[in-house]
Amino acid sequence: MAGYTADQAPTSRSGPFDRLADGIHRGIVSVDKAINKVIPEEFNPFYYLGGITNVLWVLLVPTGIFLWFYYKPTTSEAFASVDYLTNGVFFGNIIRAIHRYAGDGMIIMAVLHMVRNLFTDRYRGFRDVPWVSGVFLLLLTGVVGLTGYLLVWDQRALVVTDAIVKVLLSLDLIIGGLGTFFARALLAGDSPNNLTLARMFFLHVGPAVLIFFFLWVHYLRLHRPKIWPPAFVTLLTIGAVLLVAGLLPVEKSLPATQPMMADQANIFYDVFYLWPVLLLQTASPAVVLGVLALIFGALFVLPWLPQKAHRYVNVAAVIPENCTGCQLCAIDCPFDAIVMVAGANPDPKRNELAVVNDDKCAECGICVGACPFHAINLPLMDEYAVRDKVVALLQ
Amino acid sequence: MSAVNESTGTENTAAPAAMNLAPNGKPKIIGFVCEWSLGRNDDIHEDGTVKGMDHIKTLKIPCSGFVKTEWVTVAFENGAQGVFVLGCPLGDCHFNEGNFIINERLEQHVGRLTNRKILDDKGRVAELYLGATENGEFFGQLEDFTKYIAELPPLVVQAKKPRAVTPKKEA
Repeated sequence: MAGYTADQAPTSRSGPFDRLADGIHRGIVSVDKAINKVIPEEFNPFYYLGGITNVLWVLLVPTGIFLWFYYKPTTSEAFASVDYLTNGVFFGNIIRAIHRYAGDGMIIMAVLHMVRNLFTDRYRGFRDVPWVSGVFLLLLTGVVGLTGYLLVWDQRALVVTDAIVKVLLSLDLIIGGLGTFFARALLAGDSPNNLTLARMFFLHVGPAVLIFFFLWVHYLRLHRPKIWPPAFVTLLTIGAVLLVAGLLPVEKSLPATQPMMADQANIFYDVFYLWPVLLLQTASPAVVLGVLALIFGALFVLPWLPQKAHRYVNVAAVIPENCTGCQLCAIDCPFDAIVMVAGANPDPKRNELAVVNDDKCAECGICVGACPFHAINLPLMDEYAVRDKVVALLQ
Repeated sequence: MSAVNESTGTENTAAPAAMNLAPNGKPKIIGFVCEWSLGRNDDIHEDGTVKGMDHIKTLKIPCSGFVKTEWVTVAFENGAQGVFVLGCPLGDCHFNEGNFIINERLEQHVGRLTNRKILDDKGRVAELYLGATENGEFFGQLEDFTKYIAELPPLVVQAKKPRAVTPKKEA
């Protein structure tokens, strides 16, 4: 009969974590509603956090290519080339600031996108692939941002390099020699030399290319992913980045080749990417490494941590005798779980048959509402049973 | 509300009052409730009745996009005076698109029903889009909906052919 049994209920909300999650969910809904009162809900930026991240990413690629034309990845020339592209190239400072602030915005929006999906319960079950690829994207974004700050090769880059080496060396505590190997591989030697920045440059661009691959995986299970927000939100995002880039030019710094600045507190750190470096000022490298490993380890296993989400219990089932091959269910399915297979229909006059991909099915029943021929059904919520229940409720 | 029932001079008066009205004297209303919008709250009894509103019976469904428009017709044929579908806020569907899809389907289907004079008023089918924590809004909008339906003349839809397996009648 219609309805889930108790152990198949999507969530049971009783524990302290559930109450906390409920509170955050409540907060998210009230923020949404407050924004919906001011602007129409189809333009609410909070419904397009992933799309905004993508807009910022698309801003980052061409500006990055522009900067690459002028950049020289050697320790002796890097700072001078960055200085030239900032002060000598027409609009160079603006392009550099856009690259900087779009990067900041990208990680802010990615984290907001993650938090929202976590607390509205959109991270497990049939959404495990999007979640895990999203954590990879977050990790890659962090690596790209971190190495981006090294490329300038100013005094801050020296401090950050030092921090990265310290954290890597703390790996020696787990497996002897591993940390030293990684640190030597990163620096191309025991200390920063002329080859170091070439490796940093690869670590800035290589993971950035991988982002495209994981974006493909991220969108793979969606029929119509919201890759682009509406024009209003897109223009608002680009406008905000341009405004910040115009008002706050990238700060001036001293080259790494000069003696270190006496007052190191004056060095400006970007908290969104460089917070582990700031943490290192008060904690030991092993603690920083542990915190990073804990955060990403927890994020990777999160879809399987809570009690098992109901899955594969209510996958849509096609009734081949009724299927006319009209494609309505395949078009409406938001998760691309229905494929039309040519020549599989038992009726030779009908060309195609709808076939459900169990792994992609979210068990939402949108296909049932789409089918006018009673040819697709949720086993636990039989459509005739629901109809009879409607009749019974009215007696 | 029975006064309204007798005062309308159309063929609708032929309908027995009990068919259109719930025991508490209010028009019968059927609701399809998405379990991700308000379905996880305690506002609805086990048997599907909304707390404090005995005339509103609800069915819990996995997503508002699951609703077959046929069920809306079946509900009206069996004496419902109003039908509502409750989904997540537009743009925030748990299954990404379910509420947009049901929005379009209902718009078409209700237009068709009113064109064929099966329904006298498009307002008999309501769509509510509420987040998981908006209990106050939920009761407020249902009260408004009940008031709106109560002011309309009682609706009787003759089924062309028996659509549902009719359960055993009592008395």
